[in-house]
Order: sequence, then C-alpha cells, then structure tokens
Amino acid sequence: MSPEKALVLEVEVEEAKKTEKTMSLARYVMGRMVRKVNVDEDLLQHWVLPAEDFSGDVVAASMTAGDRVHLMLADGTGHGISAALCMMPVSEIFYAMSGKGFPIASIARELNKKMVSLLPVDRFVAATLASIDWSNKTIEIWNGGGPAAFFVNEAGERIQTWKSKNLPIGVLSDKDFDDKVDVFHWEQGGQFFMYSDGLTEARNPADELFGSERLYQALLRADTASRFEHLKESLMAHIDAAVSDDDVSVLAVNCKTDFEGSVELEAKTKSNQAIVRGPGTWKLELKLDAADIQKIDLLPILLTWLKQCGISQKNSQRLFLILTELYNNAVDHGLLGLDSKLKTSSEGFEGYLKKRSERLSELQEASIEVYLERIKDKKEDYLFFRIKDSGPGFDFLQHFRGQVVCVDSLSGRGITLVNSLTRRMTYLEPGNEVEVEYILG
Amino acid sequence: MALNVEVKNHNGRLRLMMSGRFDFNSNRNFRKAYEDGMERYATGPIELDFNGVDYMDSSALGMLLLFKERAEELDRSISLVNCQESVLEILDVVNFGKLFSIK
Repeated sequence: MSPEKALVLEVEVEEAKKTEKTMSLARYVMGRMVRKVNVDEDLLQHWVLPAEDFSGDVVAASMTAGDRVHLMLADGTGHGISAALCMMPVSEIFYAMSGKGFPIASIARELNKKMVSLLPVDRFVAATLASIDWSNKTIEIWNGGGPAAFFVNEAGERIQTWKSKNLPIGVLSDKDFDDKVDVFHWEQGGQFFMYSDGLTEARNPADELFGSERLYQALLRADTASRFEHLKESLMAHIDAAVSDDDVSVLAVNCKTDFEGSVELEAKTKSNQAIVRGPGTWKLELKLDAADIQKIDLLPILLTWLKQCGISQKNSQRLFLILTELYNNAVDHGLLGLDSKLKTSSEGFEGYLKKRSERLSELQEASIEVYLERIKDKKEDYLFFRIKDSGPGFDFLQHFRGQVVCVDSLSGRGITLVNSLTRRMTYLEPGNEVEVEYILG
Repeated sequence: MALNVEVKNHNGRLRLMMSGRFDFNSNRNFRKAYEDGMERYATGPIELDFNGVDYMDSSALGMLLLFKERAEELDRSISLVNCQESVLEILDVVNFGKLFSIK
C-alpha cells in the first residue's frame, strides 16, 4: 500500500471513530430524554421496538397532579440524529407542563408554538396526546397527524376510534392552531391503545405490511390481561427476521370501571414530604372576570404557587383535586348554569362538555373570587380556601341529599371527595360561595 | 423509481406532472421543477398532478410545505390533483386538505 493510500485510510478510520462517538453520545442523550415512562404497570403498558437508526419517535407518560395520566406519542419527520434533535424540546415541554397541571389542549398549543419557531418549514411532528382520568372514566384526546387511536372493550372489539383531525405540530401559526380535544366516557371497562405508524408499516420478509387488519385481529384473539403481550407476539411473528427501519411504539391503558380515585392516589404518592420552610404564612387573593375565566388556566398557577410555598407533593396533589373540583363547580354550575344530570350517560357527558365550551365562550359579566390562606400556629397548620362566584347560587342541601343516593354517579363524586379530604367544607348562602379547611400538618 | 417531474401547460395553467416515488431523495428534482415551472408560467394557480406517484413519505410532505410557502410569496395557489388512494390516505392523516385544495 502506498503511503498516500495508508494516510487516506487512517483519516477514514478516524472519521468513522468520530461518527461512532457522536452516535453513541446521541444514543445516550436520547435514551434519557425519551421513553421514561413513570406510571404503574397495571394501569399502563408500553413497548418500544427501536429501529436500527434513530427514527425520532417519542413516547412519554406522566402522572399529573390530580388523578390523571397524560400520554404522548410523537413522531418527527425524517430519520437519524437530525430527527432526534428536533424532538428534544417535545418531551421536555410535555413533562414540564403535565407536571404543572396544564390540560393537554394547552400542551398541544404550546408544543405547536414552540416547534413552529424552532423547526424549518419542511419539518413537523405528528403527535397524539391523551389524558386518561380514571375517577371520571374519561379520555381526552388530541390527534395531529398520528395513526388512529382507539378504545377496545373486554372482548377486544373497537368501540371508539380517533382519527387525526388536525395538522401535525409545527405547521400552523398559533392563530390558526386548533386545540379542541375529543372527549370519551367509558361505561364499560376496556383498553385504550395508541401506536406509531411503525407498527402498521412493519414489513415481513415478503415485504407485506403488518397493517391495521392484522392489528385489529390480534386484539380480538386475546383477553384483556394478555392482549398487549399477544399484540407484541403477533408483530414479532410477522416481522420474523426482517429489519425494521422505523420505531414501533405501542401504549395501552387499562380503563377499569371500579377505580377508586382517592385510594389509589394515596397508594401512588411516595413519602417525599417536602420540608416546610420558615414561619410561612401567606394569603393569596385573586379576582377573575369573564375574559380571565375564558383565557386563564388558573389551576396550574395555584399548583405552582403551592409548590413554591413548600407544600409537600402529597398535599399538593390533594389540594389540586380539591381546588379543581371547587373551581370547576363554580364555573360550570355557578356561572354557566350547567346541570350535572346531563353527565350521567355516555352521550350526555360529551354533550355536557360541548355545552360547557359554548356557554363559556359566550360568558360576559361574571367573576370568580379566590382566596387562599395558610394559617399556622403552635397547635395547627392548615390551608383555608374560599371561592365565590357571581352566579345566583345553588341549592346545596338538595345537592347533598341527591348525591348520597347516587354516590358513585359522575355528578356527586367530586363533592364527596372534597368533603372526605378536608376538615371542614361549608357552603354559604345563597350557595355561590364555599369554604374549606385542609390540614397540612 | 426516482421522482420525475414534467412541466406542462394545462389550459393556460402551470401543471407539474409527477411520477415515481415522492420521498426524501426527490428534493432536488422537485424543487428544480417547480422553480423552472414558476418561471416559465409566472402567474396563476398551480396544479400538482400526482397521477404517477405511488408512494409518498413525510419528507415529501415537508417539501409540499416549502413549495406552498414559496408559492404564497408569489401570491399563487396550489392544488393537488389526481391523487391515488395511497397518497390520499397520507394527505388525510396529516389533514393537508386544510392547507391545499385536493381534487
């Protein structure tokens, strides 16, 4: 070999080493960024079969404040490191906002805003976001360019499918972006599935796609407990020895009918009690008018406040439930005059939310006053919370009588839960004002 | 088969006749064709004929977005015509019907 040739070869080897180093660093960083799913396995199953190269799939799940899990499956355009790089902000925004209690509509909007500003025109992110609320048995979903997500009953039959209704993330301006979510209420137990297109586009050695028919058939052949495993096995049998050039990602959520929110919540929160700082008494008073109520996500702000004040994780989660319930009651029943009875059927629940959003957008001349105070002395340490709406008030005595009869109906649950979590809950005449005390110590 | 694009005059309109696989390898051919075409037929709406396209990937969707941006700068509209079933399915999932007129 001539000296020149040897030199060229040496340079090539050096380059290859450098590339390999870059790749392994990227692999390490991406491994940490994505696929960290921190939810109980009996509630959520997930599976990622990585492609040879980076494919840019992101799978994320996060327990939120309150009794929900947020899920996201995102697939960026292109392959390789550039695709993976584009996806880095996506999971960070998702986790940060879920942790602060923002709803998925706000997360989708923020992701879009961020990605439009970061990505070049020809890049975008197909994403599906879902929020599963076991205590209300509802699924909220926003699908922008992702494969259809679906709900199967115990027998594995699809009873609801959510096709993509939106453009992917990173295409439209904030003004044109539509953050409307679909809402589904399950009466009978089943499973919710989300997957990336790598699943249906996986090829066998004869170059045939796995396809949605094989997927749906696989779901019918197993029972709830083994359905997820069976789907995995079916896919692996199909691929056989073929090499996949796209990630395959699948998420399944167990949607039970006998979920007891508050009990599970207690079991799930670890004993990471934050240290209560200083004398730490404070007051927080807010007054929102109609325009604020339409625009502001008040609950994440309150939750952030509580965390900043050193309220422990466990207490923050419970307080978040209490504040959410009372705030939503004030808006839905106090200001918008919605009747909880509307919620009791499957159709009714979605109808209820539709009516809610209509009335909310038309709201004028209304206000909500929120007062939060931490009271602390030698004997006790508690939070006092009062919320008052400008509505006519409601007959709370009748409400309580009603909800004792139908204790696990959708309407009565929230107030029962608040009552059980607080030391005192008092409605003031004429029923547009409620006070609660929550023991922190 | 790599993407081939022909520039045609269709009833006085610019029509780009495409055939082959519309994917990440098509970037140069596609861009050159629409730049040439827009120069030769400097005004009016543009038709993108998908008749010979049997495969399209997400990079191709990205190229459509770039093309759209370019056309809008020149105040011209784009419609996608003669799309096959497989192409329509992809356009449907990403809801490109909200950005382009699809015929």
